[in-house]
Amino acid sequence: MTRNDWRRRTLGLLLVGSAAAWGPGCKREQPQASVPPDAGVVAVDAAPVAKVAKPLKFSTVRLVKENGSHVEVTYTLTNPGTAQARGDACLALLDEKGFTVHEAQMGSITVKGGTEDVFKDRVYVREPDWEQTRTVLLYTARDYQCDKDRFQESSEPLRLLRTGSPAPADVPPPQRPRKPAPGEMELSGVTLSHDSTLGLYRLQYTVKNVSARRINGQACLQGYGEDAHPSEEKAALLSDDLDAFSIAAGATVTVTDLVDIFDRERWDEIVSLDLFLDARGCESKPESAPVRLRFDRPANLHDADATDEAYDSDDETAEVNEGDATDPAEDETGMDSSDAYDPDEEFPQKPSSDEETVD
Amino acid sequence: MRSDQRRRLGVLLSLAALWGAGCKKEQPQASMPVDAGAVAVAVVDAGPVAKVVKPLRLSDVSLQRQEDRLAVKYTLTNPGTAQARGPACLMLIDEGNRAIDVLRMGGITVKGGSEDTFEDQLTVADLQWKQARAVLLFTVAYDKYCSDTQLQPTSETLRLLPTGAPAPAGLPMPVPAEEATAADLVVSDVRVRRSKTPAGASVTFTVKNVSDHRASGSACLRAYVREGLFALEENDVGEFDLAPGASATVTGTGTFGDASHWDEVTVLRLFTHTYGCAEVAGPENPGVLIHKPVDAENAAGGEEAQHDAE
Repeated sequence: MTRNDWRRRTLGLLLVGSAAAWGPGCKREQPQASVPPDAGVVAVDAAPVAKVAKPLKFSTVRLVKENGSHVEVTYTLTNPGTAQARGDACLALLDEKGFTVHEAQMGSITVKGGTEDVFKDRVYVREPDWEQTRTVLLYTARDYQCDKDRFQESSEPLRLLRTGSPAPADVPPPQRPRKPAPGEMELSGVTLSHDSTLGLYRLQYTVKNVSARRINGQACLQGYGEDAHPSEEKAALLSDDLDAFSIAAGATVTVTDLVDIFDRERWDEIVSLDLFLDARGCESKPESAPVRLRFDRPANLHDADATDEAYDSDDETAEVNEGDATDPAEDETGMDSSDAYDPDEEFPQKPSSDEETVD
Repeated sequence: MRSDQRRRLGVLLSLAALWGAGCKKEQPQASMPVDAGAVAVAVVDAGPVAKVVKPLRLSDVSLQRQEDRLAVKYTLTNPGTAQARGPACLMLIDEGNRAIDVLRMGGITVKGGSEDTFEDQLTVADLQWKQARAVLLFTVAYDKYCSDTQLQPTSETLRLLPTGAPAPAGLPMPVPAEEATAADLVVSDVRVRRSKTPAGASVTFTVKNVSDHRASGSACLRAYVREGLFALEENDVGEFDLAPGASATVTGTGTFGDASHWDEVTVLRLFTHTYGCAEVAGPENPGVLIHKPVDAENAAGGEEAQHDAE
């Protein structure tokens, strides 16, 4: 049965029902089934109807960027099919070439077949990502698959400018950049410092995208004890996903992350650290990451409690020799570059007399 | 419904009214077709209406257990005018009216004045399912979690037997689950056996919940070169989920990252906690001492390491 037939039957029943209420003696003719194409009436018919799924449609969108880190999105979703539509509503930030800078879940949605509803969501968006955004894409996906499903998986995606107005028709189609490959990124300026106020470690590093296309990735920091085989998952005493980044071709970004040391007592047990960049951070294996830097745990950076007592300065800092950052395409001698370190040069220390701290 | 659809339906209804008005019979009764919800909404849509929030109603629930999956089908009706949106939840309840676990079934949205049917697939291990004497279905607000201990359901709660049949009504809300600490659990009769694979071992132990609340978690086997050092190896070796006063004998397996460590370690400890190996060893989580199997080379028929009650 086509959709229009179904609606005709339905409305016919509706009107017939009403006519019947007015009594058999009524001389009015049965009404013609002059049914408008999209009456959207809920099925009254008891016969089972095969549910038809059709892409959801976005409309009446309002985008408000808050100062700081959130975007509030209000949108209407219409379900022209008869099957329930259920999943996640998603937002993607796209650069001027249509490549994704960031993809986020807006929220869980359900729209009953043949109906529409209004949704309001507040999405976390990092400032560096928003600044690189030229257009915004709204779409729906299966649960938790905003960054994996095709954009047209279950909706007609809607393309907007950052203001919420429709994007021009000639914008490039949305795409996800492919995973980073060796030779596309350069890592430098790796610095590990201790913030005694927060009692946390801070890792800073600079990434340059030397390729001709956007790269999205995430850094991971792992730490190993003396006896560790770094190729095995269980060997890491510390494994911390750091911030994700999105870098345009030729651009450079300096990132500062706080390192979550889950078991602070084990910090001293860590002998070497491994900073690597890949598509999905710590889910990737360091030995296959496109960019990776192994370095010894700086001897002066002890567990937070000990450091507070032993040193004057607030921040103990260790510079890591960025020249030893390895790129699998170039390094033929193996991944562990720590043998090349000269400890005296590796961790230049400012003499404590130069550091005046105000308590 | 889009506004043009509403207009067309409005026209139809007006026509119907005209036909009725011309008829000489008595005024039409309000015998509307069964599912007149959409019609009612259309007629009422005369202007801005203050949104009224009312608890969702659950009905027509079916539960189907298949291996470790539970398929749940349920209907939610929204008698208010405000949209209802948020997670739908399922709680497993034991014979003492205590929550074993609370699971998120899926996100739901029900437009004001309408209803819809939802289907979700949950993974529930037999360890929990076999202890369930009832389940409780409910929804919570969009920014809340099913596992919040201070539950404020946005629906009426519906209690059922694990078959899906109605359960006795009038019972109070189940006692929420709490994190178990090492002090809630007493371990005894630990046996460690090396397995045929060089790096593996099987661990059998009895764990008793000596607290007044449910306690669930896993056992963590840690192996040390000697006391006082950090563990060379650690493995989660078996899960438990116990009512207060209950005990269970559990067998689990673990594999060392490096088989040669079996020769190096001299001390084994078994820890029981809600978070298993994710909970660090320490004064609050001391574990029980086990001496390692003496004959490490002969697995399965070989020596067992035993822990006697301290």
